[in-house]
Amino acid sequence: MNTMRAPGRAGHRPIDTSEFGEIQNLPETTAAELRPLSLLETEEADASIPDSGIGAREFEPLTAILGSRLTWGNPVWSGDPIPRLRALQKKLVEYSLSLEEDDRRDCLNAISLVELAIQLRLRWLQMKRSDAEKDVIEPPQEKEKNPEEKKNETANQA
Amino acid sequence: MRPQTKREEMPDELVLALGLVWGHLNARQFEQAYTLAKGCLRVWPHDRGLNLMHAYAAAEMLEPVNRPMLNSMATPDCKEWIELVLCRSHGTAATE
Repeated sequence: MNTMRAPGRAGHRPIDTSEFGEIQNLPETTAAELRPLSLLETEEADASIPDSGIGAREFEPLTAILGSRLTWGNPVWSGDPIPRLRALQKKLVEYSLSLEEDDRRDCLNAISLVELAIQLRLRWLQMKRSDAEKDVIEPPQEKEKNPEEKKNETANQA
Repeated sequence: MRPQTKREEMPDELVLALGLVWGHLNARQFEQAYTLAKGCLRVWPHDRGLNLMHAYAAAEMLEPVNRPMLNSMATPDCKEWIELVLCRSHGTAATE
């Protein structure tokens, strides 16, 4: 019975894909119309919340240009990025060594910023680990607190 | 439709550099974005993403924007962004 129904469903699919074909054209026309609206929203948001921090809407067009792999999906935000950051640092060091000493400042400044990024991530990893350790230690502590509370309750009742 | 071919061409170090600069911009850390992009542009002077972000940060930092470079990169998908950057750097030039 299932095999009989499948061709029927498949028969509807070509219509669906053609509909998708039409829908694909829609965002191009609506995007231009929607953009001014979303820009106004960001302006309002910026006015009420001056520093919204991460994910500022004004950079959404830039994020779209760059694509997800270079932005939110960048390997710098996932896994252990420290070896990769060290590789970037190495690249900058190598390049700066090919320059005249007076010409190295731009690269050296960038190198120290990458170093900061590495230090921040190392600290973050450390905090994450100590958080994980807390999770292991905390449950027994909670169990210890409960009897104390019970004692207090019994003391209050008495 | 095929960004994979671009990905293969792009060195890992540049991918990370772009991510870091973008992160600084998104956190509105314009000085860091500007400094990092400037250094990385020495290594990859023709990377579009680095140039686009460096220009924005430069406008925010009241530093000169490389207009010829930006204009040479004005493809339909980033034309709007470039216009925004040029407009901002115009604004800063006028106030100075």
